[in-house]
Amino acid sequence: MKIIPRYGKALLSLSMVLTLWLVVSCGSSHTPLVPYDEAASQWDAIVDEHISDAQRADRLKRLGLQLDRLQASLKTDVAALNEELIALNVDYASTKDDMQQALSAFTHKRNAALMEYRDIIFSMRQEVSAEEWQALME
Amino acid sequence: MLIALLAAYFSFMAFFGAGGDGHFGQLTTQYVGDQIEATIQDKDRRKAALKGLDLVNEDIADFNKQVSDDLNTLEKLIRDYDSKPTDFDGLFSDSLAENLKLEEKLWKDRQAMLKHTEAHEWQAIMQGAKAEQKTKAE
Repeated sequence: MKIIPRYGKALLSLSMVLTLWLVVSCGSSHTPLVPYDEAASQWDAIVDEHISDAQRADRLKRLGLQLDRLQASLKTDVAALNEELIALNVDYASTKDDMQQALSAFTHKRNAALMEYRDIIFSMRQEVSAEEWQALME
Repeated sequence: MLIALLAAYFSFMAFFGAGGDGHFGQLTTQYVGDQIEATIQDKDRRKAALKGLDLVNEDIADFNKQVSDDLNTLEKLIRDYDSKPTDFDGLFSDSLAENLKLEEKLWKDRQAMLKHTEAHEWQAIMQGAKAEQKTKAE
């Protein structure tokens, strides 16, 4: 999968996300692109590179940490849901209601996480100018 | 890092991703075809079950494509400094609705496939798929 070449350095953070996505979704069928911890530290480095103001840089790093924690929390929920759905699939007698029940609880968590994710993104933007944001993305 | 939670969001699709460890997909796609061939002795039912499996595979491909498309849209929203929270909300809402629709279709097609399979056969197919997956992983 040529995701990193496609985006290149333009979005390091996205590469890390995609790495996790691929690891989670495709298991051993894909080679991880960037180790998560490494990419996280690279985010800090990118912030230091483009945001000279120490206080703003620190806030951006903290917001990044929030994303990290949020991701980790939801990843645990996803793993549990995976197991539940595997069991449902194996069970010949499982019903659509069984599936919907399993999904609904997770969907609630997912929606809450997405709202938090969105808010963190906009908290980050409040810390930077359009030019700085572009630099962080590039 | 910035888009870290994106991983969590898109890992929502993990249980439909084929080929990964511990994911719904592995038990519906990658190894199931061979197991159906080996387990269902009646030619007509075997043929019908394999046809049903093809539909399930298509559903999974559709689901993954939708997730990929959403990922591209989300990337654009994140990069765009002027995007609004409502833009994110709209994407999340649309994505969820589409996910639910595809999940329902997937389950419906799974059930249709199972109509051509006896309960004890399905159990054998799943056990065989698990064993095959484990062997390939070693």
